[in-house]
Amino acid sequence: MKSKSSKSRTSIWINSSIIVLALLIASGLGTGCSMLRSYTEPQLTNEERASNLESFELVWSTIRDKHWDPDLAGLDWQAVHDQVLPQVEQARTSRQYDHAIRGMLKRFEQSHFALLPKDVYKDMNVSDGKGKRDGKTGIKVRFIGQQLLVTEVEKDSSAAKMGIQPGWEIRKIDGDSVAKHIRRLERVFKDKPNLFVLVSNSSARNKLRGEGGTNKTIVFRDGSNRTRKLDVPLLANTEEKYRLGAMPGMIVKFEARRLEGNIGYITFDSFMDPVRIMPQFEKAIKSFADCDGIIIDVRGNLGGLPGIAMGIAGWLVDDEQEYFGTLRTRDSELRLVVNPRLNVYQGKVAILIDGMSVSCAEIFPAGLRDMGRAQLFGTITAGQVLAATFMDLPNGYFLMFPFADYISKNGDRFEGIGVTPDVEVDHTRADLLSGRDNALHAAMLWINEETTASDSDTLVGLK
Amino acid sequence: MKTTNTKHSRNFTILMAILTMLFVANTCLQAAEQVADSQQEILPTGKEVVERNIVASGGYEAFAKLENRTAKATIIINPAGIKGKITTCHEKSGKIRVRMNMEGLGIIDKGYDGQAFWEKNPMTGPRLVDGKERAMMVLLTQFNPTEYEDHYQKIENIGTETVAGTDCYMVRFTPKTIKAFTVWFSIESALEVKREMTIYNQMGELEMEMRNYDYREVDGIKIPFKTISRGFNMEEVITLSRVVHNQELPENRFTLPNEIKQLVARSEKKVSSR
Repeated sequence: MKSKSSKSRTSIWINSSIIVLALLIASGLGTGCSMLRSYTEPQLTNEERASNLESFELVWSTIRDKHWDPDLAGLDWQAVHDQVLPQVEQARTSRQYDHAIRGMLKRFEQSHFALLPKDVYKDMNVSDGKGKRDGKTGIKVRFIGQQLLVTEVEKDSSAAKMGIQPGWEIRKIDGDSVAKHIRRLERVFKDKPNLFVLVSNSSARNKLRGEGGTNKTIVFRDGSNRTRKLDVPLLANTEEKYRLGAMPGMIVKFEARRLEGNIGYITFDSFMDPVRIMPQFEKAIKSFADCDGIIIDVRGNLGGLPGIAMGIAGWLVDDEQEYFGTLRTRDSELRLVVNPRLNVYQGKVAILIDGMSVSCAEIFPAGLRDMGRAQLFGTITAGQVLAATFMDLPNGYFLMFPFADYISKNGDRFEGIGVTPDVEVDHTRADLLSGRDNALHAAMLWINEETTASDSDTLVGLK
Repeated sequence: MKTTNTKHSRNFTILMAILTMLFVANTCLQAAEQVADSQQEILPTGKEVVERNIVASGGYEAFAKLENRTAKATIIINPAGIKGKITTCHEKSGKIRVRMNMEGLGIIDKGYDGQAFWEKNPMTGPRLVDGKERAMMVLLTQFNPTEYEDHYQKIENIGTETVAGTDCYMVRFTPKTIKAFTVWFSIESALEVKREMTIYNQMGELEMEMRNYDYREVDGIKIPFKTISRGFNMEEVITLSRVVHNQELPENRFTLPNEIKQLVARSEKKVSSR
């Protein structure tokens, strides 16, 4: 019965694809963002306090109604409301308000909760590189043990021009000691190793950002073990930010190149901006059609839209019965399926992962491995695997919260656990200084099936 | 003694009260059943409700005059605040083309050329639609609402309910291959107020609720200019801005995009090689 309107039925047809694909599996965005705190110390006005109260009620009721777990992680959610409400009512500054709401969300001990203060949220949406976090040194870092090491220096960056090299150790940033910072985080996250890795690296990454046109004063131990104090300029990132609804704006990076040994290499830092990323991915896959293998590097990838993971898999998997896993809300289950493309790449696929591979960047490698399509190299991922949606609040804040659980095809949950690589391999200072990326090297060896005695350590666990 | 008598009396009283309640309840039930029976007797059949809806929506003659419909709309997905624009073109043969330009997600194209239902999505790529999803689309893309009967095993009026202050008949439609769904039709206006149905897509099944608002007449046909759909913890608001009937359509309006043609060819090859 068509009733009055084919229009209504068209609406139904539209629903089925948009609703599902618009959900987000990107905790990393929340982790990085929620690390930022910018408080307006002035006292809140009466209007701001009323708006904060309204927003608190909205956050509380939204989570009550939409969080994926009907038991709400065993919390007495009404009791939580009654405990937090007085804190919200009595909050006289933004810091106090934030503390109350974050405390409420933290009770879940789950990923994909994020609350951005309105000034941070607003700043992240500033375009033309004028946001307070839009300036970059070009230095990528990772904690290896207790050391914060430079793992990569972006070409043409201010760090590259100053001769900063992978393998250099960072001792201080703007006077703050890295050693003290890491010891503090070790105490806070002593029982949560995955979270420790994620938070320590996220905080280091954020510490190296700032306003374009300013400097970061960084104390290094260079490749000759000399201490060097450098003022590294922050170059304003003027690329157009990607926007999706209420999500904060972000720059999405993509790179593809050929490596020696007839290997294709693709890296991107989030599963976002499909309009720009997917054509680039298609072009790369097609150009690598004759390669013996493709390495997809999702280290440091913050996750994003599951539709993109499904789409990329379509170039690598030719079985339309395959799927990554299942998203579960309170009343629905949906599979992240694969639509095989017309020309599926048939060669080897290696995926690089690490403790900063988050959410969709965990589902993607795990799923392709479950399909028998990829080998994973690197270190265990962050263990932040839920599906989230997001909204802006009446008081100008941004909220992200999980509304679906994720179970892999093989029945695994990765939330709080992470995805373990097939070949565990991490950076070392010595190898970085010599110009070698160990995980990348291991993946290349596997693709080319080359082994030497000196590579034996790298090949532990290699299939 | 007195106490025992009192207790006994109380127990008896309680027992009598219970029996009385049951009796009363039973009587009430019987009375209710009689009322229900009498209401049942006066309830129109499911088909009668549908026919009233067709008349209220414009009538057989008005629908018969339609050759095609093109429409433009806006869409917003909440709570994420994702916006987009939609254009649709639907022909009386059932062919349809829908284009959604979503901010941040790109252009999603969907269609039916008379043989293949398909979709092209910037994220997931091109695909052909089959199985229950296709069965659902066959149902939903039929252009003329007067041609409904062959698609259903049953159309039943299952009662009345008030939806947002509007008294409605609840009509249960049982299609031949997919799950039954329910539509609420206003008793007064006979127009569709709400529907609950299972939406099939490549990822699985979603339970959705759809509500219609702001009916306006275009060429004698009443069309809801606003629809709000809820499901999977999200809400979509689609608002029509323009509806035009019987436009001259370009010849290639429903032609399959190249990637879809290639998928069709691949699919046919697979079938013939079995």
